[in-house]
Amino acid sequence: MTSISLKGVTKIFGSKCAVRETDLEIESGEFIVFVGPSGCGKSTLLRMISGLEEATGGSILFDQIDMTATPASKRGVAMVFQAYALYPHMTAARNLSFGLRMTGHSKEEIARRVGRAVKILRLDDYLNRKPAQLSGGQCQRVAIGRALVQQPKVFLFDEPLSNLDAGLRGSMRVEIAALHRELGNTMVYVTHDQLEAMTLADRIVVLNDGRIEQIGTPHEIYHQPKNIFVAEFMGAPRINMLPGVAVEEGGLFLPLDPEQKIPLAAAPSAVKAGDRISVGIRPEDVSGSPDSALEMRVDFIEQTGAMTHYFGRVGRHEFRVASSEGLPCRPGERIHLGFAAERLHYFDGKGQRISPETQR
Amino acid sequence: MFRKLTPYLFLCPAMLIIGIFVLLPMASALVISFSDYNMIEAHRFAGLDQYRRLLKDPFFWNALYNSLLYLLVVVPVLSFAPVFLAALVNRKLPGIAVFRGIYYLPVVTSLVVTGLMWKWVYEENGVLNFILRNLGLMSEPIAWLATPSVSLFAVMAVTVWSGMGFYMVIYLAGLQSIPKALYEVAELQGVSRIRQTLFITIPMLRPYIALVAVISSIAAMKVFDEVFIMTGGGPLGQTETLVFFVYQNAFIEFDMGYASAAGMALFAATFALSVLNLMLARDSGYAKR
Repeated sequence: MTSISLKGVTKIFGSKCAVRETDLEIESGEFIVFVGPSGCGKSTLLRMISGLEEATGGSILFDQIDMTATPASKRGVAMVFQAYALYPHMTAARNLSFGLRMTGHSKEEIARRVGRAVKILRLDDYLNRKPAQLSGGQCQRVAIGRALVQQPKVFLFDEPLSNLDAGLRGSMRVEIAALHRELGNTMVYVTHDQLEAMTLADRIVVLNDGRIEQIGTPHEIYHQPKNIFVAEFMGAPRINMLPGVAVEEGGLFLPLDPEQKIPLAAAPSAVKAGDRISVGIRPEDVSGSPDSALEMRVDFIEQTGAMTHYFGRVGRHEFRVASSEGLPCRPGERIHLGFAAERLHYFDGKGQRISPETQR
Repeated sequence: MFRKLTPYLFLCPAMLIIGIFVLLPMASALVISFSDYNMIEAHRFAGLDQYRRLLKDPFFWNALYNSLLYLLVVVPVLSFAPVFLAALVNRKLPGIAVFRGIYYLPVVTSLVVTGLMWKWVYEENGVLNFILRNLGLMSEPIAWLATPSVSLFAVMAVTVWSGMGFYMVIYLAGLQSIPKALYEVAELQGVSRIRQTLFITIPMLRPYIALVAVISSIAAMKVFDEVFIMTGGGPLGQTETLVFFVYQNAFIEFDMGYASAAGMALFAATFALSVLNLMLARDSGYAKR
């Protein structure tokens, strides 16, 4: 079990700053997921933890021991790559044992470790096949097995499921979660898929432009996003964001256009009339409500099975609704929507969350 | 109807050129090899006489021996040495493209120029002797191209030197097709660089090595320019290769029938080698990639 501390870790490629003075404490045995859009620095951060990438500044500690200058091979980490990175000229079995064979482990030790990985990941059926004869899911299982036999202190995953089709991704996700439960190792996992992040993580680290936007449990990240970026990045369809200036008209309101205004009944006390704010409302927190003043013009409807997504506009703002029951409307029609006041997220003019602890 | 013909129409120009300049001469060489044509008198059918002559001709056997020796020395060198050259220039260093260009330069240089240049290098008072003597590696200068025991190897060195860059480029393409992650996995596992080369790079390059072996063996069987320019087949026929033997008999002796028969033998040898090489190459490729 290993804890990881990042202190002011920075990575600069040429003139581009990929990771900016990042501080992060990863607890022993924790499953941490780095999530963010392409180019946000999440893979670079992972590679710096692995030692494959050198940090330009700051320090990386494993169990409070400085590892910044320690070569990758001495850090006790194993990594699973997006493109599997299996050796195409070796069978699955040879792929599993390659690292151990090359570093002078005894035959018995290799057999024991490989046997254990085979058992945990149920690889028996294709041990003698080469990667070209394996499906993507099987390849990734072998790649995970190869990480397993190294008996690393820390597992690193770099978008391991991105090359798999949707169905396989779901089942592999369950397997990785089960593996973490069984082994209890510290795992750091990079993905751009928020579903993976939400389902796997003990804590999620949302990155943007080389900076950490928020660290928190999946619940916190989703329900108490620290800023507009996190609120918009997590959740599909995206959260509805309505900017405006709050007004006092016998109660606080956010006018959207001359006809429509949103009542801010449960706004935090910090929100005053005249403040430039944005309010966010998750698509699934909105429902059809004939008496409501909020009116949406529906442009198109997307059936996803369990949920139906409605895309359209409220005034001049894009608006999305996700409903499991369905709304009584068709594209081109207008529908009245309602939501619970306490479901609104409030952000200030700089896009930072206005904390709701003191409610009016 | 017309649509079915379209692909063949597109192939026509190329087939026409290959037909006129490759297939037709091959066929006529085959015909001539059964005659005693000498470019002046009319063809006279000679049956297998020319082939019988070949089998009894010590100069032919000498040329065949030289060509095979060429193959045995040059092909392994050209199959493996450029791997290291390619690995050397496959680094992300400033100005590395310049080095790649320099190593490739001999390939685009005419063999006539290359041959003359090396002829000077190899002369008794040439650069090679000068360097070796100043390094104290030998006391007396060697006439590299005039000494029977070394002349063929001196010519081989030129073939290697001028072909190296070409094969380097093939290997460079091969090296760059190996995903970086394969090395990163090994790096994390603590596999040494040497073992990474032996157990990852070389096996991953096998299809490329097979390709280079095929191309370089065909090239080795066809060596002519270097010999023609640097030694003219001498000393004492020590550097006379099969192609040079064909040239001598055809255009010096005007013994066209005999030269054609030798050409056919060369064709058979090259063809057999290529088939063998391709079979080996097929075995070495890892199953259905």
